[in-house]
Amino acid sequence: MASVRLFRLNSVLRHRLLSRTLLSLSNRCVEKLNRLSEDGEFLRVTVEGGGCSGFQYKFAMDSKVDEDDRIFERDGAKVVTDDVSLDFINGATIDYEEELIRSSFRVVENPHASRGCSCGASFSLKEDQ
Amino acid sequence: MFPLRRSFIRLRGPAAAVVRGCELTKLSSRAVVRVTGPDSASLLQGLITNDIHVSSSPFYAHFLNVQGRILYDALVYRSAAAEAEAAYWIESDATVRDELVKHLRRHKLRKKATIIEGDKDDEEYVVVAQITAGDVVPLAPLVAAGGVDPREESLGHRFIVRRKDVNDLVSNNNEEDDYHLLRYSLGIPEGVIDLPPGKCLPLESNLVYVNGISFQKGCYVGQELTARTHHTGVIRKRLVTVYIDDDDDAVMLPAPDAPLTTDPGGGKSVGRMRGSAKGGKWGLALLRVNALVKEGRIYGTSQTSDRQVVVRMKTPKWWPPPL
Repeated sequence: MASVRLFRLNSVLRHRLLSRTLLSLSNRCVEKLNRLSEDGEFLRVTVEGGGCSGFQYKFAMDSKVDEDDRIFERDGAKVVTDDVSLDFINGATIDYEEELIRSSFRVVENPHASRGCSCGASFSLKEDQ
Repeated sequence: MFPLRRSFIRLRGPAAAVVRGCELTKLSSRAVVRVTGPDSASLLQGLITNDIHVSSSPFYAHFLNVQGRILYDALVYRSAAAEAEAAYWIESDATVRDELVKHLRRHKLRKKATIIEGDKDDEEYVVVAQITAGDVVPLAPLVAAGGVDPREESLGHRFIVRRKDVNDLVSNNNEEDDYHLLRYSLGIPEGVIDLPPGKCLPLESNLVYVNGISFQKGCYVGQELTARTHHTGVIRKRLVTVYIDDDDDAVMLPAPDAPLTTDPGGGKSVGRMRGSAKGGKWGLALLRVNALVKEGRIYGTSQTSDRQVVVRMKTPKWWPPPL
């Protein structure tokens, strides 16, 4: 009867519960964010046009949530994205990778993305291939 | 002196800013798109081969696909009007203008930029070329944007003007054929017949020599293959001017995409034909660089008959020597 319970919840909470499945945060991402963010800050993920494969991910720390934003939380770490960008990344995981060449947040296992550029910042859509 | 065309006599007032004797050619093969808004430069910068911030106006650039193949070739103009926001005019082949608009809209996402087709604008805009040597006075205030053709000096100047103003200045359209003839003799590709979308590579199309690419700028669609080829690869084929050295009207260059070979009707393939000017005497072909070095004759089938024709090659004067 979980579905009946869901229906009775108020719309904000329901929105948040449904959102949780759309974007996953990896353990490394949560750890890094909890260490990094100051009060009220979260990681904003945006998809922009351009970049060597057609679209690119942009990461920035932010503290202002807009009307068209969706919030994803786990263990105190918050990631926010707008509804346009979410269309390109829903189902993906936000990860934090530390390598010799760089340490950065990455969008991984994006079901929409096909080939990407070798630095991982840019991707193209499956329907383009 | 310069023959004054009949239409010139009618001009008075602002239109009299036109200098005497200039040959204005309306280019119906090209169409215009306008991009405005604070993010317009950023939108274009991620999609084109050239650097929008350091280039002249107009500058030449290609839009590539993800695989590094050319989609559209374009001249990009910065708007001449002193506007609060940046505005750019993009001139492309008229037949793919709508695809270009779709391509821009697809990558716009949340950027604050507006994309307006040149004929859905308040006034319809067209492209005009001015290829006479000598003093040139810009057609201000009729010109929305314009400047020296960035690809090759001999192509003169290029302007974006309102269609209703052009009809006063250009009495007939035959000169467009002359423009293309000049362009082919100089070895400059333009449009989808010379650069079939999705099939050709920018460096093979001599983009470097027509000043259409920057290797100092950041990521744009298709950059990976292009930068890698430039820095580490070898370019084995290039677009070369080809011509027929025969006055017979039936002897013309082959049709676009027709093969060119070492022997009449057979032999080894040395490349493929691209576009040619009206009359079929001058055109462009994508040829193996080896074929150029050997300086042999190449053969193909005339586009209007089945005759085998001898195709001569000419490397343009603006190519650097060791090619």
